This record gives sequence, structure tokens and C-alpha cells, in this order.
Amino acid sequence: MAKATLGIAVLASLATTAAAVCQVPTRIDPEQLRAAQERLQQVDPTRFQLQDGQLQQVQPDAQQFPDPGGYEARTDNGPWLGWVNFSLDRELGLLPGTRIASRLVGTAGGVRFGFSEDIAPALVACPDGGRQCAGGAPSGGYALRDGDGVLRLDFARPVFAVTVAAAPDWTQSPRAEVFQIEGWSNGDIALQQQVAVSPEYVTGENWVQLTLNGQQAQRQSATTAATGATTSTEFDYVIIRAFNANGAPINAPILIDDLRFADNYGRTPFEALGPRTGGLRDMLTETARLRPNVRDTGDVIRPAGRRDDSLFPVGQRVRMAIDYPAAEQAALRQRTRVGARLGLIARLAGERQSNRMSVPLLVPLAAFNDEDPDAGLADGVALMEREDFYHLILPTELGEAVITGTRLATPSQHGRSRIGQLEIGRGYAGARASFNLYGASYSVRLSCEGSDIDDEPCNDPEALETLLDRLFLFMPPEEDRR
Amino acid sequence: MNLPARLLVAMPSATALSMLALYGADMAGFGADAPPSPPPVEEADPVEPDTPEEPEAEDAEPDAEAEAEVEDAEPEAPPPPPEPAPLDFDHDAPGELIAETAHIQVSEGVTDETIIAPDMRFPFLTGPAYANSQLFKPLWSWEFYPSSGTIDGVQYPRPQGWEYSQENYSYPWIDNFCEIRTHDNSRCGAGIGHEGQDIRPGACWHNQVAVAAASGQLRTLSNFSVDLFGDDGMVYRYFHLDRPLLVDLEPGEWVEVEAGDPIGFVSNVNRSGTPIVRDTSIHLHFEIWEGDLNGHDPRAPYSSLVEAYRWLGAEDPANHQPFEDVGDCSYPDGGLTPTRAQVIAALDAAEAAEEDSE
Repeated sequence: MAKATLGIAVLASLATTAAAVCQVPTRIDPEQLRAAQERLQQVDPTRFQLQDGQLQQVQPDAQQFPDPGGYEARTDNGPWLGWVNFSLDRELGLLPGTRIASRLVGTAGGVRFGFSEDIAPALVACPDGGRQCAGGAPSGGYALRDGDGVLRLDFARPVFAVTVAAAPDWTQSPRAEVFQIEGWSNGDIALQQQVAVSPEYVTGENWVQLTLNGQQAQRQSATTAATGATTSTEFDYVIIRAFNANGAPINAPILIDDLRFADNYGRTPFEALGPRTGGLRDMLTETARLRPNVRDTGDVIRPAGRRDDSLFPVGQRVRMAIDYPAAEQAALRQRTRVGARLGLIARLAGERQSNRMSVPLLVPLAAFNDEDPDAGLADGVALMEREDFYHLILPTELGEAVITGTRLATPSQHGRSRIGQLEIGRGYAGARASFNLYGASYSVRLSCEGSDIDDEPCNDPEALETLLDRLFLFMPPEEDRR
Repeated sequence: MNLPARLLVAMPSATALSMLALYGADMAGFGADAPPSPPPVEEADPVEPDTPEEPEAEDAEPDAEAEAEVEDAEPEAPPPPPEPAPLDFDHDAPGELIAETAHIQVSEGVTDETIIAPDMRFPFLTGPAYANSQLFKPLWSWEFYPSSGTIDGVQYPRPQGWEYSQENYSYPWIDNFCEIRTHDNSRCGAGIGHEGQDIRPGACWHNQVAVAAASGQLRTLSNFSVDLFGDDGMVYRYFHLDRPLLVDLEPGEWVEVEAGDPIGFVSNVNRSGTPIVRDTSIHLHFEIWEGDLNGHDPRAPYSSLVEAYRWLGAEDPANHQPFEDVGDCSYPDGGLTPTRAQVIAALDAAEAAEEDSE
């Protein structure tokens, strides 16, 4: 409990620091940075640990950031080449003159910052000529201060994927805002993503995330506002903007918390699996409330009992009843929450067209071409569907992910009811999660490939949660709801 | 490279032929290092077939009427063969783990005897098979790994010895779902525990073929796991199968299989995709995933496996008797026990050398 309290206090302190810095007109002032860094040094949770009720300073940089420049190398063959989080302490490492360890040169794509004219271009070369940059723990942020205050990030070499997280400051802008990112290639916009956010956008976290997936850049987006024809699947630079709901410049800041980029991924990073829905927990809570409906099982497809000559009793197998109206309302809320113009119904081309799947499909948008269920499955995604269940397999940066949804159930005789609870943990071959939503049971699991999975991200429940948070619920067509 | 000939007995004919073509006609043993043979089954004394008595010819003249009656009469159907009796073998009760291996505060696994998959085909081509523990049976010496039996600071009992210890390859079967592991498993009393059942082959050798437990779609998901997405809606997971598999299965592809189709050799391949000495034994880690009202996760497979094994043994009980000698996989030189792929490579090299000499 003490540790949790400390964490909250630290987060609050960091938020205050970030907000205060965002109000200064010239953002990067060496003196202010030094002062801010000293303060951050005292409250950054990564620099302390609680032992016997006392704060003990630790030296995480020695482990997490081998170089004082703030660049963290990727050693797990992950797809992200680097990332920038704009936190103040890390920005010191981004300033010209700071060098990263020579062994890290070439492992990151690198990024050069550019700003509009009304923002002092103090941060102009990160990296260049061997300097590269990236950040560490997400904290602080960079402020887009008005409609002209675009932020441009040039990459040292073209990248396939960019993901950026931002948090509007509602204390200064109580109105809805539009947050936008453009991927540019050869002087043209290759892909654009935007999302309208408002104070009603509540997921427990006041931030949104946008991702440019260059591998999907040549397809028309059904969920986002694409502009013009795309000519490339790689981006030379991106431009980040913010508007109000009417398209006029805004005066309030949007904090950019985190940006990652990749140029060589063959697998879809979690952050590129689609927007966060933030809705799974809500759906679980509602499922727990609807427990009587969940227990109202449908057909018995195999009765319980002892067969002739069998030593043990055979478990009863049932087809669970699904609360379609409640599931559909939850799917609607998901779309409203993230501002996604998504259909509610997905009729996927399975391997057996005659078996029309009746289970609500839980799937990240990246499983579809251009995040559009009507456009079919994306490359590398496999689906096995039958009338009562489906398995969807998609490659991710942490190994193949398997999402199973089924309404077939063999109830356990002694198991306690945990309907509406998320069971998530480390598994024999990777992290896995299990839960029931509106009567259908689901599992989401990762398949590790490493030789020792104990400390691998693929067996980290927190990593799996980033995937769970990107699952959208799609309903089967009316005629298939049985 | 070869397979014990007895393995072919229960194999679908087309599969057996294809495997014969793949491994050659000599499938009676592994050459000089052949796996042990099962104890010879005493052959019954040959019995002279009953010779029907010749009817006495009472009348030399053919009786046309009687002949017509004979033609019109339905031939009497032979009596149906007696139903094979299920194999009677020694096995401990579901949830009864090796003492003190569940958890420091929990002594049982899942005692629910319910058969989750009553129609499952036993995942080995034939017997014998020994469901027990690969971690808490003799595997290696504490002399080499004095701390490897410690989990969460608690040292669990592990008998000294080697993988080829006879007790590893004998009945009774022992459940090891919920055996202590660091994996989360909400079905175990401690909240952590083994998610499947370890099954050893009949001998300490890569001679056992894992087969599809149900009809469905097969897919590899990592170096050491194969998932069978059953048409019955269950997921059967196979771990530690030797590479390459017996099915032509590329990563990212589906292969449709029928229940009983060979998938691969039971091995000690671990997560790295290579066999690892003193890390894991030659065994199959087998899981069954099925839904319930709470979610979809691994279920205790022991009861289902016992039942499937009983009926597999009904076909040929002799194939389920323990070997007199379980072989030697003691890795005397510290090297790896050869896998099927390595043996194939060696044979190919020998064959090539022979052709060159000719």
C-alpha cells in the first residue's frame, strides 16, 4: 500500500511538472531544464525503490539506459527502432552535443525535430551525424501550443510505422479537439490519421494514441480520414497537429507523451494493432452484473454421466447463451469512446461458409486490411471459425497471438465462479488471459519463441494487456445470432 | 532411420506407407542403438482350423428345389467380434500428485474426475506411455544442479538419478496438472501450477509418435509447440515435438488432420528448438483448452488421457506393457541425445558416402 501511495504521489508530481513547463513560451531553456531535471531526479519512481518503508535511491540508468544520452537499445529484436518521449530529463540527452554509446549507433532510425516558426527551434538535431535519440519512461511531454504549432519529426531513414500518444489538457481547453498525425513520403501525404477527443472521452487515462502503419498506407481507410492517394508505404517524416472541433487552431496544449518508430518490422507491434478501446474492463464489469444471463445456458450438446465402461464421469458440455443486445450496446460504446466509425457487424470469410459463426468477434483492427472488417483479413492473419467458436491468429512483435472465442463450455464441478473477471498471467508458453464476455468465453495468449521465457515480454501479463486493450467487439449478423 | 515396426500396426495404412517411404523399409529398430523391444508376447500354439465336415452325399442327383432354397436363403451373418475390453493399467487418481509437489501449502491438484474430452484419441500412436512428472522424477543429479529444484525459495523433492531410470517408464500413471511451476494457473489451489500433463514414451528414446487427438487444423506457433485446433472446439497443445515434424507444416500455415494422424516425434526439444540435456526429458507436454462459464483456458487433462489410453490399449494390450530395458539416454559424453533430424542427417551422409564409394 505504501508503495502504491508513493507511486500516485510521484505521478501527480510529474504531471504537475509537465503542466508547469508547458506554460513557458520558450520551452527549452537550459536553466529551467536543469532545475526541472533536478526535481525529476528526486521524484522519478525509476530512480527510487521502497525498502522497509524508506526511499532508497537506485541507479536505474545503469541498467535501463547504458548511456547518459537516454537512448535505450532494443535487445529483444522488437520492431521499434527507437522512441522519443519528450520527458524533460531525457531531453537533456537530446540536446546537441550529447552522444550515445558508439555501440548503439545504427541501431536506431534516428529522428530530427522541426518546429513551426513561432516555437523556438532549440531542439534541431536529434540525431544527426551519429547522434541518435530516444527516451525512457513516459513522463512529461511536448506541447503543441496552437494550430500553427505543428511538430515535424524527420527520420534519418524511412520508417514503416509511427505511433504517438498525446494527452489534451482539458483544464485549458474544455472543448473537443482533433488530434492528427500525417505521414509524409516524397513530399506527399502518404497517410493521415486523426481522432476527435473530448472531455467525455473517459477511459481512466486522459490520452489518445494514433498510429501510422505504412504497410497499410496504400489502402483506403474506413475508420480514419485518409487524404489523397498514397504513393509509398514508408514515411520520411511525420507532422503532428491539433485543432478544435471546427478545424480552427487551438490555444491549449496537447502533450505528446511518447512516440515510437520502426522501419523493419515484419510483425505488427502491439501499438500498431489499432487504437486502444479502453473498453474491456467495462465489458467485464457489465458481464459480472449480467451473471444470471451468462448462467442461463442454452443447449446441452453432451449430457453428463458415466459412459459404459468409463472410469470417470463425462462432463456435460453446453452451448452457452449469449446476451447479444448487451454485447451490441457495449460494442457501440466502444466506438463512441474512441470516435471510430466502425461497423458493428463483421461477417468474416471463414474456411467453411456454411458454418456461420455466432460468437461476437473480439479482435484488434490490425487483423483487417486497413483496419476495415469488410476488407478482409490482413496478411499473416489466420482465422478458423465454426458455428460456435473461432480462433484468430495474428503475428505481433512478441510472437504469434491467438484469440479464441467460444460458446462451448464444459463447466467444472469444483471451480468457483469468476464470471466477469479477467484472469491474466504467465503461462507455459507465454502470457495468457481468460475471461467471459456476455456469455461467450475468450482466451488471448502469446507464443514465446525465446529459449528462456521467464523474463521475456511475451510472458509479461502487462504486455498482454496492451493487446487486450486494443480488442474491438464485432457482432455476428442478426441471422447468425442463435 | 526407422520406426519400430510395431508402431505401424495401429497406424493408418496410408500413413504407414508414407512413413515407410520416408524412413525406409527397415523400421524394426534404430540399428546399433536400437530402442528396447517390448517383452516378447507369447504366441499361442497354432491351432488347426476347424474343418467343416463334408456332407454325405445321400443322393447323387442334384436336388434343384433344395438348390434354389439354398440360393434364396440369407447367408447367416458371422457373429460380431467381441467388443475389446479397455486396457486395465495402474494409475493414480486425478489430482493425486507426487507428494509435496503441488505447492508448499497445497497438496492436491485438480481432483475433479470429469472427463473433458471423452472422444479424444490418445495423443501417442501406441503404447506404452507413462503419464507422470518430468520434473519430480529422476532426471539429473543434484550434484550438477543443486538449486534447480528450488521454486519461490522452496526446495522441492527431486530424486537423484537419470532420465533413463526405470521408474520413469513404468506404471502407475501420476497426474501432474498443478504440479508446482511459476506459471499462473487459477485452477490450482495455489494459483500457480503446471498447465498440462507430461507423458513419457515407452523408452528413453525419440521413438514415440505423437498423433492428432482430434480432427482439426494444425499449426505451429513457436519452436517447440504445435497447436491442434479441433473441429470439436477444443484446443490440443503439443510441446517438445522433434523438428522437423512429420507433417509438412510451415510456420503460419494450417494443415488439416484427422484424429490419429502422425504429427511428430516425442522429444526433448525445448523452447530454443533444440534438444537440451538436463533441462527437460523426452516427453510430451499435452494440454487441453476448453471453455467454461468463466473463460477459456487449460483444463486438467488427466481423466481424459486415462480414458483415451484405456481404449487405445483395448486394441492391442501387448503394446502397452513396459519394456524390459528402457534404453540409455545418459549422455555419457555430455552431448545431446540425437534427434530424429540428426539421425536422418547421419544416415543421409552415410548413404552419400556409400554412393561416392561406388
